[in-house]
Amino acid sequence: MKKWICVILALGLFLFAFAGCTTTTEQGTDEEIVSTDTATVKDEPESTSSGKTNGEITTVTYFTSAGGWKSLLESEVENWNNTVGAEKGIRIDMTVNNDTFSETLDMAIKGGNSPDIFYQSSSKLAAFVASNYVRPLDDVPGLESLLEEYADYLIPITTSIGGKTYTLPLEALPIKIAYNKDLFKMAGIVDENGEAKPPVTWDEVVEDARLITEAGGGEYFGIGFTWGWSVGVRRLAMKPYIASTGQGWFDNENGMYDFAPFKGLFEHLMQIKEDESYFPGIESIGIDPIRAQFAEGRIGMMTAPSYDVGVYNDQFPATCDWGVFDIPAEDPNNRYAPVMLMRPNNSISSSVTEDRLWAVAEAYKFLHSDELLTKYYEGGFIIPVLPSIVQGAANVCDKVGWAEMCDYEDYVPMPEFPDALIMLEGDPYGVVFQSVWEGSMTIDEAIEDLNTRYNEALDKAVQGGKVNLDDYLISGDYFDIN
Amino acid sequence: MYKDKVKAMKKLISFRQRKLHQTNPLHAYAMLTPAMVGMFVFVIYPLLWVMRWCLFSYDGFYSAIYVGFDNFIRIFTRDPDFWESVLNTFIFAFGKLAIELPLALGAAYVLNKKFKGRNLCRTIFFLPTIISVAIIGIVFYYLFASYDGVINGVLTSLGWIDSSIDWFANKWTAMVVLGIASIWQNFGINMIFFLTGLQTIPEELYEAGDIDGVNAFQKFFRITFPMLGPVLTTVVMVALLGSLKVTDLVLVLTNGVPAGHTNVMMTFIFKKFFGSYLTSSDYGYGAALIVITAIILGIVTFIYLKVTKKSSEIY
Repeated sequence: MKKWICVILALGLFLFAFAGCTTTTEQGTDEEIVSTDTATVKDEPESTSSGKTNGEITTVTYFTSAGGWKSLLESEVENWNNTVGAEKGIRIDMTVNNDTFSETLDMAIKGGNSPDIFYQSSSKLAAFVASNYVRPLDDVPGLESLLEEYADYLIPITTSIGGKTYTLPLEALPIKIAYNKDLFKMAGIVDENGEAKPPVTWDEVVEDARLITEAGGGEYFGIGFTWGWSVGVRRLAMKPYIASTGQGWFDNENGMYDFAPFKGLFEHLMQIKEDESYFPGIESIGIDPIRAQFAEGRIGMMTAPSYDVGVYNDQFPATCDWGVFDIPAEDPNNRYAPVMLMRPNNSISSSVTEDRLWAVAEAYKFLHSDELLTKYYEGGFIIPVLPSIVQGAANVCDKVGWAEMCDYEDYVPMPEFPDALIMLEGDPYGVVFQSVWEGSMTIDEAIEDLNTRYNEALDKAVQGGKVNLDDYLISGDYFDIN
Repeated sequence: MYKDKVKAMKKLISFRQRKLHQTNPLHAYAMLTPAMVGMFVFVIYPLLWVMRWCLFSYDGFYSAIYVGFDNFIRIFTRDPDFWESVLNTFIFAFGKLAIELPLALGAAYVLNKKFKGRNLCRTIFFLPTIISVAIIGIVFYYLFASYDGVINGVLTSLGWIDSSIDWFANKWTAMVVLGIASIWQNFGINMIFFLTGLQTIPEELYEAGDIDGVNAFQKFFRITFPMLGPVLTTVVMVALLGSLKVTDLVLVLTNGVPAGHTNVMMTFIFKKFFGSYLTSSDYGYGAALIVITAIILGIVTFIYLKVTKKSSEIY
């Protein structure tokens, strides 16, 4: 008897210990998410195609990375949940993660816990499609009119692969340079009217940075930059420099990596280092701390994608008189089109089951609705890809820098490169160029090293079927200004 | 008579042992099952998972490709960055322990004496141990910031430096900052361990020393230090392995800057395994790195236990 009591107690202990080790989410099964407030969807025979339910709420999970518009998005989602969502029986359960979004999303999806809708990083769309993590929007009932609206703005690799659309373009993000007019005036960099005169060439950028730092007396500095942000060198330096050479680090015409066009950029950066005309500590400083320093008026110039307008007006309201100028070129008479990021919006997980698709489609339509995008635009947070939204907005945002950012006629969308698909041996280019800055490598050594390793990894990816070079090939005159 | 009693006793013991063996296995195994299942799920399965994937090239998205021992060949022939991170780990661990442990022992020795405010001092020294590593990382980042950093401010006002030091721009100064932060975080807990050991040393030994006329210096090195042998052995091993496995502090404070030169083994593996915005995940290579790292840590532990075997057995 005693023996059986022991056995029962042991089994009880065992079950208790593992009681929490269960999941309600398994991709592609009927046990799928179905987290509802009152009942599970599989017990919901009353659901109709219009989405009306008998008081039951279907929760749609949404995972996103939102910049300056986080507060607006949160309040709009809450408002929708309480009105339209409540009427239709849908609730959007949104999680916003800005710092580790990409890694967290990867782990969630691979762990079988994919959110229903998630913000799509364009660089990983090809991998997500290959792994069947995302559902083609063309196959989702109810999204037909939305797809039609965006038909002219779909971009290969960024939004569509193999004739299927997996996400929609959300916003155009022209990259320009924010500058502190007060510091330009202090350093005597002014035009004939005494107004701050922004540089038009990279040589002038270097020279202006030196003048501002000299005049700054250790309190103010010419350039703000960050090596501490993993995409800093790419977004704040390399992409803007394409306007000088008409080439990215992946040669989209010949289908191979070539970092040589960036030699001039890093020569300028090394000159800035030699002049000590940069904000101290850029080796480790994060993007937000360096933005905060610009907002405090301590930095003369800093590369600014259009979302920084929201940052310097709302997140870290700038205390200085600042403005925005166009990306300089090596030779203003031989200038190529500057790039703008074409940020995609959201994808729908392939793990969403057919019985919940109606609710996910409704939530997806709201997240891409003209009303919501108009509020983003009017709030000065994003520039929607659809011109109809820009033209139809009742209120024009009066935030500093917004008007200059919205002037992007010559800009072209940044083409996709297969960086995230290749299995690179050794450090990525962001770390290698930091070695140049640190002084443990020359620019030529870095370029040779990167060209060799990236092309070896590309060859393997092509041979292994991970990269189809044809998807990445574009015309040689893509960056030419018409 | 005596022999009969012994024989009867042996028979009884033998019977009880036999009975124990015959009747107990079921509930013994039942009691063991939760732990065994836990060990299989959380230890054995991950180990087998790692052993399997280290022979593949796999990014978590596309099909895994069998590459045999190529991941290991890459570690030994084509990845100097990993070996730099191994070297960094040992420099960090031995460098900081060389300061941290004597500091902890000295503090414990002083705080073992009776004086006013002793408990307050113990609490203050122990406090960093309970602070989150993320907070420590941020605090030390701003202490050593190049612009408006407290340390640079103090050094400048003392006239020791003319301009601010960019602590994170150079590998060695960044490593110094890591070491200082880690010592500050950990020396309190080691001090508590030493304090416990000091309190177990019999007072009679010191009294005997007084009779023999030994001075304070001799008392410490001839009585206190040898008597702390077993405690010291354990504390050093725990501190050494903890330092060799350091991850979070480096990720928060330097994240490898400048140019990955302050990466330690675990942060290097973390970055290879999970990838970043600029690179894809590399589960296969990450798994191979884990195997090599486990072997390195195993060798260090084995050597340490061999070397210190004698000292833990003396007293």
